[in-house]
Amino acid sequence: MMRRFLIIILIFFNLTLFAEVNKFHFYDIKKVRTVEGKITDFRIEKVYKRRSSFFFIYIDSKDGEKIKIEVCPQWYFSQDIAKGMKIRVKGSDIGEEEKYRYLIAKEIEVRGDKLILRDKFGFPLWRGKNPHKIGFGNRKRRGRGGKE
Amino acid sequence: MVKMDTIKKGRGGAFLLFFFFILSVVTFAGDGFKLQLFPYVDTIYTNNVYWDSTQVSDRIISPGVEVDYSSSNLNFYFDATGRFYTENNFLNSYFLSSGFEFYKALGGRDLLYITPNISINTFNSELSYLDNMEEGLTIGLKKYLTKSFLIKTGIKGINKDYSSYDSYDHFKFSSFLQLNKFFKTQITLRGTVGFNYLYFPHIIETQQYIQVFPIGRRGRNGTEMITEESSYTLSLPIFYSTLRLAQSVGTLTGLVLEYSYRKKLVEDKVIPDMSEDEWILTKMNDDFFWDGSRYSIALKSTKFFGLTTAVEFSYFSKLYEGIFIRDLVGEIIQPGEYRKDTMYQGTFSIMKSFGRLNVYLKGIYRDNSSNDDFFDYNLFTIMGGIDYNF
Repeated sequence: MMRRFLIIILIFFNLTLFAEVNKFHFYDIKKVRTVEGKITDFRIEKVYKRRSSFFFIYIDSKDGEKIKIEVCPQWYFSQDIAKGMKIRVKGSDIGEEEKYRYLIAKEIEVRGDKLILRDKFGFPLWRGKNPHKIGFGNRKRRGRGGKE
Repeated sequence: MVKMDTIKKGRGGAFLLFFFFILSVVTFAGDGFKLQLFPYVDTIYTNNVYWDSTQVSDRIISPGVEVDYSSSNLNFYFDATGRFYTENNFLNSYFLSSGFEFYKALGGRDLLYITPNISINTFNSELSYLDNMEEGLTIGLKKYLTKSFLIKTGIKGINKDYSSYDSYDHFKFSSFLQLNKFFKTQITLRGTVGFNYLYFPHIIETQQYIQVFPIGRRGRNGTEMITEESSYTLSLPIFYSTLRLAQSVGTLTGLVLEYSYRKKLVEDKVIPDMSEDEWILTKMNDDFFWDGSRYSIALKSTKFFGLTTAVEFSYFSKLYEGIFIRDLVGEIIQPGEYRKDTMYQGTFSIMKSFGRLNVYLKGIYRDNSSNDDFFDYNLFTIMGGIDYNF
Protein backbone atom coordinates (compact mmCIF):
# COMPACT_ATOMS: atom_id res chain seq x y z
CA MET A 1 0.00 0.00 0.00
CA MET A 2 2.79 2.35 1.00
CA ARG A 3 4.75 1.45 -2.14
CA ARG A 4 1.73 2.20 -4.34
CA PHE A 5 1.27 5.51 -2.56
CA LEU A 6 4.92 6.43 -3.13
CA ILE A 7 4.68 5.53 -6.81
CA ILE A 8 1.64 7.75 -7.19
CA ILE A 9 3.46 10.57 -5.40
CA LEU A 10 6.48 10.14 -7.68
CA ILE A 11 4.37 10.08 -10.82
CA PHE A 12 2.58 13.22 -9.67
CA PHE A 13 5.89 14.89 -8.84
CA ASN A 14 7.30 14.07 -12.27
CA LEU A 15 4.17 15.30 -13.99
CA THR A 16 4.52 18.53 -12.06
CA LEU A 17 8.12 18.88 -13.21
CA PHE A 18 7.12 18.13 -16.78
CA ALA A 19 4.36 20.68 -16.59
CA GLU A 20 6.88 23.29 -15.44
CA VAL A 21 8.92 22.92 -18.60
CA ASN A 22 7.73 25.64 -20.89
CA LYS A 23 7.20 23.98 -24.26
CA PHE A 24 7.76 27.30 -26.06
CA HIS A 25 11.30 27.71 -24.92
CA PHE A 26 13.37 26.29 -27.68
CA TYR A 27 14.58 28.04 -30.80
CA ASP A 28 13.21 26.51 -34.00
CA ILE A 29 15.37 27.45 -37.00
CA LYS A 30 12.55 26.51 -39.39
CA LYS A 31 10.33 29.24 -37.97
CA VAL A 32 12.59 32.27 -38.24
CA ARG A 33 10.85 35.46 -39.35
CA THR A 34 11.43 39.22 -39.25
CA VAL A 35 8.92 41.63 -37.74
CA GLU A 36 8.80 45.41 -37.47
CA GLY A 37 6.67 47.44 -35.15
CA LYS A 38 6.48 49.78 -32.19
CA ILE A 39 7.35 48.92 -28.61
CA THR A 40 4.37 48.83 -26.28
CA ASP A 41 6.09 47.48 -23.17
CA PHE A 42 9.34 45.96 -21.91
CA ARG A 43 10.31 44.28 -18.67
CA ILE A 44 12.38 41.65 -16.96
CA GLU A 45 10.64 38.32 -16.45
CA LYS A 46 11.61 34.98 -15.00
CA VAL A 47 11.88 32.18 -17.53
CA TYR A 48 13.21 28.64 -17.81
CA LYS A 49 11.56 27.30 -14.69
CA ARG A 50 12.14 30.67 -13.04
CA ARG A 51 15.89 30.09 -12.99
CA SER A 52 16.79 32.98 -15.29
CA SER A 53 15.74 36.62 -15.56
CA PHE A 54 15.29 37.58 -19.18
CA PHE A 55 14.50 40.86 -20.83
CA PHE A 56 11.22 40.89 -22.79
CA ILE A 57 9.92 43.40 -25.30
CA TYR A 58 6.28 43.63 -26.33
CA ILE A 59 5.47 45.15 -29.72
CA ASP A 60 2.54 45.92 -31.97
CA SER A 61 3.73 44.89 -35.43
CA LYS A 62 3.02 46.75 -38.66
CA ASP A 63 0.65 43.88 -39.53
CA GLY A 64 -1.33 44.41 -36.37
CA GLU A 65 0.05 41.41 -34.48
CA LYS A 66 0.79 41.63 -30.78
CA ILE A 67 4.18 40.01 -30.25
CA LYS A 68 6.09 39.08 -27.10
CA ILE A 69 9.84 38.90 -27.68
CA GLU A 70 12.21 36.95 -25.48
CA VAL A 71 15.43 38.92 -25.83
CA CYS A 72 18.34 37.91 -23.61
CA PRO A 73 19.51 38.03 -19.99
CA GLN A 74 18.73 41.37 -18.40
CA TRP A 75 22.34 42.53 -18.34
CA TYR A 76 23.12 42.05 -22.00
CA PHE A 77 20.57 44.39 -23.50
CA SER A 78 22.55 47.56 -24.14
CA GLN A 79 20.01 49.80 -25.84
CA ASP A 80 17.95 52.35 -23.96
CA ILE A 81 14.51 51.67 -25.33
CA ALA A 82 11.16 53.30 -24.66
CA LYS A 83 7.48 52.81 -25.35
CA GLY A 84 6.62 53.92 -28.88
CA MET A 85 10.11 53.35 -30.32
CA LYS A 86 10.35 51.64 -33.72
CA ILE A 87 12.09 48.27 -33.72
CA ARG A 88 12.91 45.40 -36.08
CA VAL A 89 13.36 41.89 -34.74
CA LYS A 90 14.50 38.68 -36.41
CA GLY A 91 13.73 35.57 -34.45
CA SER A 92 12.05 32.24 -34.16
CA ASP A 93 8.26 32.36 -33.97
CA ILE A 94 7.40 29.49 -31.72
CA GLY A 95 3.71 29.87 -31.27
CA GLU A 96 1.16 31.71 -29.27
CA GLU A 97 1.17 32.46 -25.56
CA GLU A 98 -2.01 33.94 -24.20
CA LYS A 99 -2.85 36.79 -26.61
CA TYR A 100 0.70 37.23 -27.98
CA ARG A 101 2.78 35.61 -30.70
CA TYR A 102 5.99 34.49 -28.96
CA LEU A 103 9.34 35.18 -30.63
CA ILE A 104 12.80 34.21 -29.43
CA ALA A 105 14.98 37.01 -30.79
CA LYS A 106 18.10 36.41 -32.88
CA GLU A 107 18.76 40.02 -33.94
CA ILE A 108 17.33 43.33 -32.81
CA GLU A 109 17.68 46.62 -34.68
CA VAL A 110 16.80 49.94 -33.10
CA ARG A 111 17.69 53.38 -34.45
CA GLY A 112 20.74 52.27 -36.42
CA ASP A 113 22.10 49.87 -33.82
CA LYS A 114 22.06 46.12 -34.24
CA LEU A 115 22.32 43.62 -31.42
CA ILE A 116 23.16 40.04 -32.39
CA LEU A 117 21.79 37.70 -29.75
CA ARG A 118 22.00 34.19 -31.19
CA ASP A 119 23.79 32.32 -33.95
CA LYS A 120 21.92 30.78 -36.89
CA PHE A 121 21.15 27.68 -34.84
CA GLY A 122 19.74 29.75 -32.00
CA PHE A 123 22.61 29.30 -29.58
CA PRO A 124 23.04 32.37 -27.35
CA LEU A 125 25.90 34.77 -28.04
CA TRP A 126 25.58 37.02 -25.02
CA ARG A 127 28.85 37.74 -23.40
CA GLY A 128 30.46 40.11 -20.97
CA LYS A 129 32.17 42.25 -23.55
CA ASN A 130 29.37 44.16 -25.22
CA PRO A 131 26.76 45.02 -22.65
CA HIS A 132 25.86 48.41 -21.35
CA LYS A 133 27.81 49.72 -18.43
CA ILE A 134 25.17 52.19 -17.53
CA GLY A 135 26.93 55.20 -18.91
CA PHE A 136 30.58 54.39 -18.39
CA GLY A 137 31.17 52.78 -21.76
CA ASN A 138 32.55 49.33 -22.34
CA ARG A 139 34.77 47.56 -19.88
CA LYS A 140 37.61 47.64 -22.31
CA ARG A 141 37.80 49.07 -25.77
CA ARG A 142 39.62 46.52 -27.79
CA GLY A 143 41.69 47.73 -30.69
CA ARG A 144 41.69 51.31 -29.60
CA GLY A 145 43.35 51.59 -26.24
CA GLY A 146 45.10 54.82 -25.44
CA LYS A 147 46.90 55.02 -28.77
CA GLU A 148 45.56 55.01 -32.27
CA MET B 1 61.81 58.23 -7.00
CA VAL B 2 62.25 54.54 -7.80
CA LYS B 3 60.28 52.22 -5.59
CA MET B 4 61.60 49.04 -4.13
CA ASP B 5 61.18 45.77 -6.00
CA THR B 6 59.26 44.32 -3.09
CA ILE B 7 56.45 46.74 -3.77
CA LYS B 8 56.32 45.65 -7.39
CA LYS B 9 56.15 42.01 -6.33
CA GLY B 10 53.36 42.87 -3.94
CA ARG B 11 51.28 44.22 -6.79
CA GLY B 12 51.67 41.06 -8.85
CA GLY B 13 50.65 39.09 -5.77
CA ALA B 14 47.53 41.18 -5.34
CA PHE B 15 46.52 40.48 -8.92
CA LEU B 16 47.12 36.74 -8.48
CA LEU B 17 45.16 36.76 -5.23
CA PHE B 18 42.22 38.47 -6.87
CA PHE B 19 42.45 36.18 -9.90
CA PHE B 20 42.43 33.04 -7.76
CA PHE B 21 39.53 34.45 -5.75
CA ILE B 22 37.61 34.80 -9.01
CA LEU B 23 38.70 31.29 -10.02
CA SER B 24 37.50 29.84 -6.71
CA VAL B 25 34.13 31.55 -6.94
CA VAL B 26 33.79 30.36 -10.54
CA THR B 27 34.65 26.80 -9.56
CA PHE B 28 31.90 26.69 -6.96
CA ALA B 29 29.45 28.83 -8.89
CA GLY B 30 27.24 25.86 -9.75
CA ASP B 31 24.49 25.41 -12.31
CA GLY B 32 23.32 27.98 -14.76
CA PHE B 33 26.79 29.23 -15.61
CA LYS B 34 28.22 29.15 -19.10
CA LEU B 35 31.90 29.24 -20.07
CA GLN B 36 32.81 31.16 -23.21
CA LEU B 37 36.06 31.80 -25.00
CA PHE B 38 36.67 34.78 -27.30
CA PRO B 39 39.96 34.92 -29.19
CA TYR B 40 40.42 38.14 -31.15
CA VAL B 41 42.95 40.10 -33.12
CA ASP B 42 43.01 43.78 -34.04
CA THR B 43 45.32 45.44 -36.53
CA ILE B 44 45.95 49.16 -36.68
CA TYR B 45 47.83 51.48 -38.98
CA THR B 46 48.36 55.05 -37.86
CA ASN B 47 50.39 57.92 -39.26
CA ASN B 48 50.72 59.40 -35.77
CA VAL B 49 51.37 57.13 -32.80
CA TYR B 50 51.97 59.95 -30.32
CA TRP B 51 49.26 62.40 -31.42
CA ASP B 52 51.77 65.20 -31.88
CA SER B 53 53.79 66.98 -34.55
CA THR B 54 56.51 64.30 -34.66
CA GLN B 55 54.08 62.34 -36.88
CA VAL B 56 55.58 58.91 -36.12
CA SER B 57 53.73 56.22 -38.05
CA ASP B 58 53.42 52.54 -37.20
CA ARG B 59 51.49 49.34 -37.67
CA ILE B 60 50.20 47.65 -34.54
CA ILE B 61 48.85 44.18 -34.04
CA SER B 62 46.90 43.34 -30.93
CA PRO B 63 45.89 39.71 -30.34
CA GLY B 64 44.10 38.60 -27.22
CA VAL B 65 41.70 36.24 -25.59
CA GLU B 66 38.82 36.76 -23.21
CA VAL B 67 37.26 34.08 -21.06
CA ASP B 68 33.77 34.70 -19.68
CA TYR B 69 31.90 32.60 -17.17
CA SER B 70 28.42 33.95 -16.86
CA SER B 71 24.95 33.33 -15.58
CA SER B 72 21.85 35.47 -15.99
CA ASN B 73 23.03 38.05 -13.48
CA LEU B 74 26.73 37.46 -12.93
CA ASN B 75 29.68 37.48 -15.29
CA PHE B 76 33.25 36.61 -14.37
CA TYR B 77 35.88 37.54 -16.91
CA PHE B 78 39.55 37.29 -17.63
CA ASP B 79 41.17 39.11 -20.51
CA ALA B 80 44.74 38.95 -21.81
CA THR B 81 45.99 41.20 -24.62
CA GLY B 82 49.30 42.04 -26.24
CA ARG B 83 50.01 45.17 -28.24
CA PHE B 84 52.90 44.86 -30.69
CA TYR B 85 54.35 47.75 -32.70
CA THR B 86 56.13 46.95 -35.96
CA GLU B 87 58.55 49.91 -36.00
CA ASN B 88 58.52 51.22 -32.42
CA ASN B 89 58.64 47.91 -30.62
CA PHE B 90 59.89 49.54 -27.41
CA LEU B 91 56.22 50.55 -26.99
CA ASN B 92 55.04 46.93 -26.89
CA SER B 93 52.80 46.22 -23.94
CA TYR B 94 50.77 43.45 -22.33
CA PHE B 95 47.51 43.75 -20.49
CA LEU B 96 45.84 41.37 -18.04
CA SER B 97 42.43 42.12 -16.60
CA SER B 98 40.05 40.22 -14.37
CA GLY B 99 36.87 40.94 -12.48
CA PHE B 100 33.21 40.25 -12.27
CA GLU B 101 30.04 42.06 -13.17
CA PHE B 102 26.98 41.68 -11.01
CA TYR B 103 23.54 42.69 -12.20
CA LYS B 104 20.48 42.90 -10.00
CA ALA B 105 17.01 43.48 -11.38
CA LEU B 106 15.10 46.02 -9.31
CA GLY B 107 11.47 45.62 -10.13
CA GLY B 108 10.34 45.00 -13.69
CA ARG B 109 12.65 47.27 -15.68
CA ASP B 110 15.30 48.69 -13.40
CA LEU B 111 18.81 47.43 -12.98
CA LEU B 112 21.68 47.78 -10.53
CA TYR B 113 25.17 47.10 -11.81
CA ILE B 114 28.29 46.53 -9.69
CA THR B 115 31.70 45.54 -10.97
CA PRO B 116 35.07 45.40 -9.26
CA ASN B 117 38.08 44.76 -11.44
CA ILE B 118 41.83 44.58 -11.32
CA SER B 119 44.33 44.82 -14.16
CA ILE B 120 48.04 44.86 -14.86
CA ASN B 121 49.71 46.68 -17.73
CA THR B 122 53.34 45.86 -18.44
CA PHE B 123 55.73 47.32 -20.99
CA ASN B 124 58.92 46.16 -22.65
CA SER B 125 62.16 46.64 -20.77
CA GLU B 126 62.83 50.20 -21.96
CA LEU B 127 59.52 51.42 -20.59
CA SER B 128 59.19 48.90 -17.77
CA TYR B 129 59.25 51.71 -15.21
CA LEU B 130 55.75 52.53 -16.47
CA ASP B 131 54.37 49.11 -15.53
CA ASN B 132 51.21 49.72 -13.58
CA MET B 133 48.40 48.07 -11.75
CA GLU B 134 44.84 49.31 -11.62
CA GLU B 135 42.02 48.54 -9.22
CA GLY B 136 38.55 49.77 -10.05
CA LEU B 137 34.98 49.69 -8.84
CA THR B 138 31.91 50.74 -10.81
CA ILE B 139 28.36 51.04 -9.53
CA GLY B 140 25.52 52.03 -11.81
CA LEU B 141 21.75 52.29 -11.63
CA LYS B 142 19.24 52.37 -14.45
CA LYS B 143 15.69 53.33 -13.52
CA TYR B 144 12.62 53.88 -15.66
CA LEU B 145 10.33 56.49 -14.09
CA THR B 146 7.83 55.82 -16.89
CA LYS B 147 8.09 53.67 -20.01
CA SER B 148 9.47 56.69 -21.88
CA PHE B 149 11.50 58.41 -19.18
CA LEU B 150 14.75 56.82 -18.06
CA ILE B 151 17.23 57.91 -15.41
CA LYS B 152 20.75 56.57 -15.18
CA THR B 153 23.34 57.33 -12.58
CA GLY B 154 26.68 55.89 -11.60
CA ILE B 155 30.00 56.26 -9.86
CA LYS B 156 33.37 54.82 -10.74
CA GLY B 157 36.66 54.87 -8.88
CA ILE B 158 40.03 53.81 -10.28
CA ASN B 159 43.34 53.67 -8.47
CA LYS B 160 46.36 53.38 -10.73
CA ASP B 161 49.71 52.56 -9.24
CA TYR B 162 52.92 52.77 -11.29
CA SER B 163 55.56 50.34 -10.19
CA SER B 164 58.57 52.63 -10.48
CA TYR B 165 57.33 56.08 -11.32
CA ASP B 166 55.52 57.54 -8.36
CA SER B 167 54.67 60.82 -10.06
CA TYR B 168 52.21 59.07 -12.35
CA ASP B 169 50.31 57.29 -9.55
CA HIS B 170 46.80 58.63 -9.59
CA PHE B 171 43.23 58.17 -8.46
CA LYS B 172 40.32 58.86 -10.74
CA PHE B 173 36.71 59.31 -9.74
CA SER B 174 33.78 59.73 -12.10
CA SER B 175 30.10 60.26 -11.46
CA PHE B 176 27.15 61.20 -13.61
CA LEU B 177 23.40 61.67 -13.70
CA GLN B 178 21.56 61.22 -16.97
CA LEU B 179 17.95 61.85 -17.97
CA ASN B 180 16.48 60.32 -21.13
CA LYS B 181 13.08 61.32 -22.47
CA PHE B 182 11.58 59.65 -25.53
CA PHE B 183 8.94 61.48 -27.57
CA LYS B 184 6.34 60.05 -29.97
CA THR B 185 8.09 61.83 -32.85
CA GLN B 186 10.87 59.22 -32.40
CA ILE B 187 13.15 61.81 -30.79
CA THR B 188 15.09 61.00 -27.65
CA LEU B 189 16.37 63.93 -25.64
CA ARG B 190 19.22 63.14 -23.25
CA GLY B 191 20.79 65.42 -20.70
CA THR B 192 23.84 64.40 -18.70
CA VAL B 193 25.72 66.15 -15.94
CA GLY B 194 28.87 64.70 -14.49
CA PHE B 195 31.68 65.34 -12.08
CA ASN B 196 35.11 63.83 -12.60
CA TYR B 197 38.11 64.07 -10.35
CA LEU B 198 41.74 63.23 -11.04
CA TYR B 199 44.17 63.22 -8.13
CA PHE B 200 47.93 62.78 -8.19
CA PRO B 201 49.08 62.12 -4.60
CA HIS B 202 52.80 62.62 -5.02
CA ILE B 203 54.25 64.35 -8.03
CA ILE B 204 57.97 64.46 -7.53
CA GLU B 205 59.88 67.48 -8.73
CA THR B 206 63.64 67.40 -9.02
CA GLN B 207 65.63 70.62 -8.73
CA GLN B 208 69.31 70.97 -9.43
CA TYR B 209 71.46 73.92 -8.52
CA ILE B 210 75.11 74.75 -8.09
CA GLN B 211 76.31 75.51 -4.60
CA VAL B 212 79.51 77.49 -4.14
CA PHE B 213 81.65 76.55 -1.13
CA PRO B 214 84.16 78.87 0.47
CA ILE B 215 87.70 77.69 -0.05
CA GLY B 216 88.75 75.24 2.60
CA ARG B 217 85.29 74.50 4.02
CA ARG B 218 84.85 70.84 5.04
CA GLY B 219 87.81 70.03 2.93
CA ARG B 220 86.11 70.95 -0.36
CA ASN B 221 86.85 73.71 -2.74
CA GLY B 222 84.83 75.36 -5.47
CA THR B 223 81.32 74.33 -6.52
CA GLU B 224 79.06 71.31 -6.23
CA MET B 225 75.91 70.27 -8.09
CA ILE B 226 73.08 69.77 -5.60
CA THR B 227 69.97 67.72 -6.47
CA GLU B 228 66.85 68.09 -4.36
CA GLU B 229 63.54 66.32 -4.64
CA SER B 230 60.23 67.68 -3.43
CA SER B 231 56.78 66.16 -3.61
CA TYR B 232 53.40 67.80 -4.03
CA THR B 233 49.84 66.84 -4.90
CA LEU B 234 47.62 67.83 -7.80
CA SER B 235 43.81 67.74 -7.86
CA LEU B 236 41.86 68.23 -11.05
CA PRO B 237 38.10 68.33 -10.47
CA ILE B 238 36.11 68.85 -13.63
CA PHE B 239 32.43 69.33 -14.35
CA TYR B 240 30.80 68.43 -17.64
CA SER B 241 27.36 68.54 -19.17
CA THR B 242 26.09 67.00 -22.39
CA LEU B 243 22.90 67.51 -24.35
CA ARG B 244 22.03 64.86 -26.91
CA LEU B 245 19.25 64.68 -29.44
CA ALA B 246 18.67 61.38 -31.23
CA GLN B 247 16.16 61.04 -34.05
CA SER B 248 15.08 57.77 -35.65
CA VAL B 249 14.88 57.90 -39.43
CA GLY B 250 12.69 54.88 -40.10
CA THR B 251 13.50 51.83 -38.04
CA LEU B 252 17.06 51.18 -39.17
CA THR B 253 18.74 54.59 -39.13
CA GLY B 254 19.51 57.01 -36.33
CA LEU B 255 20.75 60.59 -36.39
CA VAL B 256 22.47 61.97 -33.29
CA LEU B 257 23.37 65.56 -32.44
CA GLU B 258 25.38 66.23 -29.32
CA TYR B 259 26.85 69.21 -27.50
CA SER B 260 29.17 68.85 -24.53
CA TYR B 261 30.78 71.45 -22.28
CA ARG B 262 33.60 70.83 -19.81
CA LYS B 263 34.92 73.14 -17.12
CA LYS B 264 37.78 72.56 -14.68
CA LEU B 265 36.81 73.62 -11.19
CA VAL B 266 40.23 75.00 -10.33
CA GLU B 267 41.26 78.43 -11.40
CA ASP B 268 44.57 79.12 -13.00
CA LYS B 269 46.34 76.13 -11.48
CA VAL B 270 49.62 75.40 -13.20
CA ILE B 271 49.78 71.82 -14.42
CA PRO B 272 53.23 70.40 -13.79
CA ASP B 273 55.35 69.29 -16.68
CA MET B 274 55.41 65.53 -16.81
CA SER B 275 56.41 65.68 -20.42
CA GLU B 276 59.00 62.93 -20.53
CA ASP B 277 56.41 60.26 -21.24
CA GLU B 278 53.50 62.61 -21.34
CA TRP B 279 51.63 60.74 -24.02
CA ILE B 280 51.23 57.70 -21.81
CA LEU B 281 49.43 59.72 -19.19
CA THR B 282 47.83 62.75 -20.69
CA LYS B 283 46.42 61.12 -23.82
CA MET B 284 44.45 58.77 -21.63
CA ASN B 285 43.36 61.51 -19.25
CA ASP B 286 43.22 64.34 -21.77
CA ASP B 287 39.62 65.16 -20.87
CA PHE B 288 40.75 66.26 -17.40
CA PHE B 289 43.08 68.90 -18.73
CA TRP B 290 40.92 71.11 -20.93
CA ASP B 291 37.95 73.42 -20.68
CA GLY B 292 35.72 73.94 -23.63
CA SER B 293 33.13 72.52 -25.98
CA ARG B 294 32.51 69.60 -28.28
CA TYR B 295 29.90 69.48 -31.05
CA SER B 296 29.13 66.16 -32.74
CA ILE B 297 26.85 64.85 -35.42
CA ALA B 298 26.54 61.13 -36.14
CA LEU B 299 24.56 58.91 -38.46
CA LYS B 300 24.13 55.20 -37.76
CA SER B 301 22.41 52.65 -39.93
CA THR B 302 21.82 48.94 -40.33
CA LYS B 303 20.08 49.42 -43.66
CA PHE B 304 22.74 48.26 -46.12
CA PHE B 305 23.71 44.61 -46.74
CA GLY B 306 23.33 43.66 -43.09
CA LEU B 307 26.20 45.96 -42.15
CA THR B 308 26.19 48.19 -39.10
CA THR B 309 27.62 51.47 -40.35
CA ALA B 310 28.31 54.76 -38.60
CA VAL B 311 29.86 58.08 -39.52
CA GLU B 312 30.57 60.83 -37.04
CA PHE B 313 31.98 64.32 -37.26
CA SER B 314 33.13 66.27 -34.19
CA TYR B 315 34.48 69.72 -33.53
CA PHE B 316 36.38 70.51 -30.33
CA SER B 317 37.40 73.85 -28.91
CA LYS B 318 39.83 73.29 -26.02
CA LEU B 319 41.64 75.57 -23.62
CA TYR B 320 44.31 73.84 -21.52
CA GLU B 321 44.30 76.27 -18.64
CA GLY B 322 47.44 75.85 -16.56
CA ILE B 323 49.48 74.31 -19.38
CA PHE B 324 51.82 76.83 -21.01
CA ILE B 325 52.84 76.61 -24.64
CA ARG B 326 56.45 75.62 -25.20
CA ASP B 327 58.97 75.78 -27.98
CA LEU B 328 60.11 72.58 -29.68
CA VAL B 329 62.98 72.26 -27.19
CA GLY B 330 60.48 72.24 -24.32
CA GLU B 331 61.02 75.71 -22.85
CA ILE B 332 57.99 77.83 -21.94
CA ILE B 333 57.50 80.60 -24.47
CA GLN B 334 57.40 83.89 -22.56
CA PRO B 335 55.38 85.73 -21.38
CA GLY B 336 53.41 82.51 -20.91
CA GLU B 337 50.28 81.65 -22.84
CA TYR B 338 47.99 78.71 -22.22
CA ARG B 339 47.72 76.00 -24.82
CA LYS B 340 44.64 76.31 -27.01
CA ASP B 341 43.56 73.67 -29.54
CA THR B 342 40.90 73.46 -32.20
CA MET B 343 40.22 69.95 -33.40
CA TYR B 344 38.13 68.47 -36.20
CA GLN B 345 37.61 64.75 -36.21
CA GLY B 346 35.77 62.43 -38.57
CA THR B 347 35.25 58.72 -38.02
CA PHE B 348 33.58 55.92 -39.88
CA SER B 349 32.96 52.33 -38.83
CA ILE B 350 31.58 49.25 -40.50
CA MET B 351 30.72 46.06 -38.62
CA LYS B 352 29.42 42.75 -39.79
CA SER B 353 28.54 39.63 -37.86
CA PHE B 354 28.67 36.23 -39.49
CA GLY B 355 27.01 34.28 -36.71
CA ARG B 356 29.78 33.73 -34.19
CA LEU B 357 32.37 35.59 -36.24
CA ASN B 358 32.50 39.39 -35.97
CA VAL B 359 34.50 41.67 -38.23
CA TYR B 360 34.94 45.43 -38.01
CA LEU B 361 36.72 48.23 -39.83
CA LYS B 362 37.12 51.71 -38.45
CA GLY B 363 38.82 54.85 -39.74
CA ILE B 364 39.66 58.14 -38.04
CA TYR B 365 40.89 61.42 -39.47
CA ARG B 366 41.80 64.22 -37.11
CA ASP B 367 43.16 67.69 -37.67
CA ASN B 368 44.39 69.38 -34.50
CA SER B 369 45.46 73.01 -34.65
CA SER B 370 47.26 74.34 -31.60
CA ASN B 371 49.11 77.46 -30.55
CA ASP B 372 51.71 74.99 -29.22
CA ASP B 373 53.53 73.81 -32.35
CA PHE B 374 54.25 70.44 -30.76
CA PHE B 375 50.54 69.65 -30.74
CA ASP B 376 49.82 70.96 -34.21
CA TYR B 377 49.21 67.68 -35.99
CA ASN B 378 46.99 65.54 -38.11
CA LEU B 379 46.17 61.90 -37.60
CA PHE B 380 44.92 59.18 -39.85
CA THR B 381 44.21 55.78 -38.38
CA ILE B 382 42.63 52.73 -39.84
CA MET B 383 41.91 49.67 -37.77
CA GLY B 384 40.35 46.32 -38.41
CA GLY B 385 39.54 43.44 -36.16
CA ILE B 386 38.06 40.02 -36.00
CA ASP B 387 36.78 37.96 -33.08
CA TYR B 388 35.10 34.63 -32.64
CA ASN B 389 32.67 33.45 -30.01
CA PHE B 390 33.33 29.80 -29.14
